[in-house]
Amino acid sequence: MRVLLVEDNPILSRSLTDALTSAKLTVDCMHDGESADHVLRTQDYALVILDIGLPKLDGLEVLRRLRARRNAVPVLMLTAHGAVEERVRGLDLGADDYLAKPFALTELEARARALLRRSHGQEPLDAQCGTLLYDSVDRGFTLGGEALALTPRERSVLEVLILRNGRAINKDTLSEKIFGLDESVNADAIEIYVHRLRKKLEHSSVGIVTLRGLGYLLEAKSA
Amino acid sequence: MTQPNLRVRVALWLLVPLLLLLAFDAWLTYQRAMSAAHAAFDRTLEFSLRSIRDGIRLRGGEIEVDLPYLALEMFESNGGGNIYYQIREEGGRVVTGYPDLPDAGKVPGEPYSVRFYDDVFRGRPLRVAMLRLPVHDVPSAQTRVVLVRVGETIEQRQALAREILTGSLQQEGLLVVLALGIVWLGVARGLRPLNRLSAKVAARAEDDPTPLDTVGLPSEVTPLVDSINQYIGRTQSMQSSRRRFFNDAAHQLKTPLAVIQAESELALRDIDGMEAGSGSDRRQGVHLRRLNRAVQHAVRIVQQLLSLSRLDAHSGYTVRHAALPLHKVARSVTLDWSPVARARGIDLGFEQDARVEIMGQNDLLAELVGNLIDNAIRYSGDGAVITVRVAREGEHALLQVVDNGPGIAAEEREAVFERFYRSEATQAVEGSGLGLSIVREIARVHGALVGLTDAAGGGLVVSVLFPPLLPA
Repeated sequence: MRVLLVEDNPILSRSLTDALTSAKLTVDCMHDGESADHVLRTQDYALVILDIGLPKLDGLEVLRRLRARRNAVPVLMLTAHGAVEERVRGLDLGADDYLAKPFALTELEARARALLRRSHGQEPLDAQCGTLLYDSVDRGFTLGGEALALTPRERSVLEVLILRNGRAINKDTLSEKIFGLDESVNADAIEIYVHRLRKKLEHSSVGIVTLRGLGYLLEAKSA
Repeated sequence: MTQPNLRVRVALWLLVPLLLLLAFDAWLTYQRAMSAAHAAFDRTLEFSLRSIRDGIRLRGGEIEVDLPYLALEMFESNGGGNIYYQIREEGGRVVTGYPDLPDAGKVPGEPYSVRFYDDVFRGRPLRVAMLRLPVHDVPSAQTRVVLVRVGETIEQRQALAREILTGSLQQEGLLVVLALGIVWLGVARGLRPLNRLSAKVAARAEDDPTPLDTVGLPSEVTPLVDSINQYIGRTQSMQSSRRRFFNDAAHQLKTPLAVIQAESELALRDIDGMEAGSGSDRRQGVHLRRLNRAVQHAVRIVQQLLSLSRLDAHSGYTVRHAALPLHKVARSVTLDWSPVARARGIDLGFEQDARVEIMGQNDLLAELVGNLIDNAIRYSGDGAVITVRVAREGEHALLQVVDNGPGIAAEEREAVFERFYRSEATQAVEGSGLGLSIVREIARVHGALVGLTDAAGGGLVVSVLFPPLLPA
């Protein structure tokens, strides 16, 4: 997938390019607003990472022109100013996400991944946690190379957990995702599925942790 | 040292000259009273002089005196003053009376004329009337000149003058006292605008940028207020340029920090990607991890400093309050921090007694909760239990972060809110000393109060009490 990175600081631009490239993305770099605006008129990208403070044409203007052309490419704004006003303006102009400098590369990668996933919602995504692998094509799980036998509900629960990518999920939210809003299912029913999943994951390198008051977390146990 | 107050000064400035004037006036009054007394008493003296004169004859070449004792006695009994007299031939012997009564060389030139003068006799002041009297003896056709003197001690005159003086002094003293009272009141009244001004200045917030109002102030004070206002203006502009500089400097640091952070992460990944690296790779890994930690620390400090400068009352930053669920904000932030807690074996939990709506700004509240959790994780130590609680306390919303760490000594609980304050006990913990300052600032812009208390069974409870959500 092609990503356009618009960042005027040459070293930061190279660092980010390295990181994104290692995440198997193709990166085009622009260093000022004008050339970014120009290239966005002719090229299609899966994601634009756009610094706000740019020479010649600022990032917000590039974004405004982009949206004025009805181009819906996801845009992740970068800024050295953490001011809420700027963030609000960026989001008002149609930015999809916002990251304040300085940031951890993992954070940038996670946001970029999330935006790509959102814009390519239909495209299946594989996921991994320790030795537990998820194949989105057949919605199957393998644990340590062997297929994991799951009931449909268990599969749904584990799917939600593994796609959280190491983030915990609230019990109510999980319940909603599994049963939907309409079904009058006791949220405690989730506990049963979690309990069963824990049994099945026993003796593996992966476990479901209960975070007090927060929800469930699928995590790889450290050796 | 403070100068005596204005009232005392004005009163002194008035009192001292008034007293000098009063003294001068007393002297003048006494002089006038004395001359009035002389005028009155001299007539009596002259009368007794003339009655003596009537009894003086020249007979056979001899001066004969037939004293009208009655006149003298009456005179003497009148006031207790002593009467002394002397009758003497000019240039000759004393006929009768006190021979040592001095004449002070004040002999009148004209015959029959009376002259008054002051003198001293036997150590006492004396008022003397002197008559130069030619005496004729018709049978012998002789004429002799006689000097008749009657002296009177002046106690009576003095007593009268003193009486006049006392009366006048009493009056004037009363006037002075009244004048001082009026001045005292007048000064107090005149100073009232100044008192109001000083109360206004005293009640000012230390960072109030508005100039003082000159309306209703006396014109004498206006220049002072104008100078104060100019001073406020200068201080303000100095402060705001300092803030701008600080803000710009912090922002300028962000991009280079982003570069260092990204590069150190990339380098770490390269090292980690190498299977079973050599010893030097491992050492590089150690250095890189330290570098990475240091950069993250620097990043955090810069972010916190910018938060503080943004929250500063003068930054022109306005909080956008909206009704939002505190329990959701707190839970989401707690969730964000759970990986950090788990990495340190800390049990970070969340409790919610009620759904609590408050007026606030989402990102600021998230920052507040984040700082509290960050602190709790930093200072409670590995394996601690930390609980974020949201509850309703009457009309108020209450957010608490409870830990079972070492807590904060009671005497340090105010100091920990100071910027860059690091407790002696926690010097070893990597931190900026800015977290609680930010918490307090964010609480302030939300009208909330932050309190530190001991947790049951040891540890610290940080409570943030939000004002009641007003019905829309």
